Amino acid sequence: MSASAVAADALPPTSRGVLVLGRMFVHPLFDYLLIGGGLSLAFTAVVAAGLVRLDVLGVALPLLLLVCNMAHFAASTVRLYAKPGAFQAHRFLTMALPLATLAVLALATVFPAWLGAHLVALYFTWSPYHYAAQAYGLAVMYCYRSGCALTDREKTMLRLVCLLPFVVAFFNSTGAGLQWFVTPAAIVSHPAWSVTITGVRIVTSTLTFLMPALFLLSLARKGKAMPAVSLLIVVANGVWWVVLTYMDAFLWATVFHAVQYLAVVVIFHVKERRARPGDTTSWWVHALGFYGASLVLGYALFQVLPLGLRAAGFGWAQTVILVIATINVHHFIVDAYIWRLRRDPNYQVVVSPA
Amino acid sequence: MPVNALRPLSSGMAAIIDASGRPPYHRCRLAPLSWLYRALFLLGICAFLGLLVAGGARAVTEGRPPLVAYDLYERGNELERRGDLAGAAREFRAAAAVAPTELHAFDSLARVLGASGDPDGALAAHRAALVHHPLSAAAHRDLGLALVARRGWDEAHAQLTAAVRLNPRDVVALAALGDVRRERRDIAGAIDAYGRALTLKPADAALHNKLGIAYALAGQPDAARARFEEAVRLDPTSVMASENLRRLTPATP
Repeated sequence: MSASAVAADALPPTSRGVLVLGRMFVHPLFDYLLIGGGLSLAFTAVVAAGLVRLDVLGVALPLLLLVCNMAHFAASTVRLYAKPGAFQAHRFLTMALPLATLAVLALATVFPAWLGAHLVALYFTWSPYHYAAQAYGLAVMYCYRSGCALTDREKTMLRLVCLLPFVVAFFNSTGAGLQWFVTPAAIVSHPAWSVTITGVRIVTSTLTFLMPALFLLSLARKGKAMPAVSLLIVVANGVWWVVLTYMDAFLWATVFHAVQYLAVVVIFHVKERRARPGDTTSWWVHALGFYGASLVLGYALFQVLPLGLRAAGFGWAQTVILVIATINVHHFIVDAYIWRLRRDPNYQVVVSPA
Repeated sequence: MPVNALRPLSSGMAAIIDASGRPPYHRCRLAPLSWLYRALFLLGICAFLGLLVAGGARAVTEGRPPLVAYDLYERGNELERRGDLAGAAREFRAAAAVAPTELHAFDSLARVLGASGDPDGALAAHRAALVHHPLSAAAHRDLGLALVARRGWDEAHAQLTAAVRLNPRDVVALAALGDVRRERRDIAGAIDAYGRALTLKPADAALHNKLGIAYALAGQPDAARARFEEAVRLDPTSVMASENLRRLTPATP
């Protein structure tokens, strides 16, 4: 999810100090643990300590991936089509992109080395950027909601701070990021490159944790108090990509990101539906309906679609990998449009009461 | 403003203003385009639903459980089991192409190509794995073993040395390194490699036998005999160790 800039002077600062609790969407516990990523930090500590091993998760892992990851990827599509006026506002996105996506998937499956490999590398490279953009969007959203008005310059600074984990991942990725353009063998054969990359990784990893604190202090000096949940969101994304190994980060960051995303998207959906004139349906009916639709679509996309391509005569391995990559890229594109705040109904949800 | 009256926009494009006073909707220019969009949308939905139906039918005919973890090599392994090595190679080759991060795809491809009588192809697969996994001890070891089979001793030595440097606890690589050094007449180096392998796997009769041969070649019959005896003790069925022990024992006059 990436939120575009919102009007900086919409709400005046409400408090002084370094950090404030902020104005929550649901409840501080819910917002801090799920959207803020507090729960993920505790889990990251457990994973980093080696207490969670994939092989012992057994059937729980596919189930976890279904209810979190797959549902989250589908949720952006459900959100797109459930959003009022989406067909008018996003004609290409709603009507042409599905076919274009399937066409790209088919082409990539037919030409795995020529196109498929690049699609997968794009997906691996884009993912950490997408997470960084979501962290930025949510952080700004909470700032705005909590009356911490950010100037354009401050928003640019915050965006750069949020992008640091992406830079770490770019230089730390296996088969993506830098390795999309330069083979690992070439990097290893040039010791100077390896040293430089390691140096960049260490510096950006350090900055990932240092810069949010400096940004916070710079706001405090101007008399602005950032909601702690915004800081938590930014730091949590940094922890995922810096503390965990790349593949662990790739797996678990997707889960944490999905939980965060599902919580926010359901809130937006429920608030929009409840704001419609004459709507008397309970919030949980809207929430359950939205999540149920996302779960079913996620199941269809990730579990059934690869089998359909296999039935069409394509190989299994590249089908599975390319379906995952294609759905991810589709999700990234859709998200870039559906979470805009400026001149969008999303704005009303952001400023609405809890 | 009359309903549906045409009013020029600043861009010069004609727009229709309807009675609701909504923002100008460029119906004149976009009307044909919206039909195109609708057609694309319908086509996309049909293609998607078609794939889902085909996928659902496939799941039913294969008796797949409703929720599965992805096994990328499921199909390739199945084809290999059925003896369709060309089909399995296609599967593994495609997997390696789209996901070069998967070392297992290269390994499987090399194995299948080797089994189907294409040692050059197998070697190429091992070399490709190394391009993407230059710091993988297993990738160096597997290429080294493939080169041993092709008697490319010098390159095999380089690869196995790299494998052992990256993973000093790889017994297979150490044993193969000992073999290569023995072939290159570096007996002291071979004794060192076998000795290191034995510290990691002291109950391996074959390793004791290899070390015994190296000692014998180095002119140390007592040390060799001790290794052969240990090999026979660990594996009484070891014909090679027994034969080596017999050869080493001086014939009684």
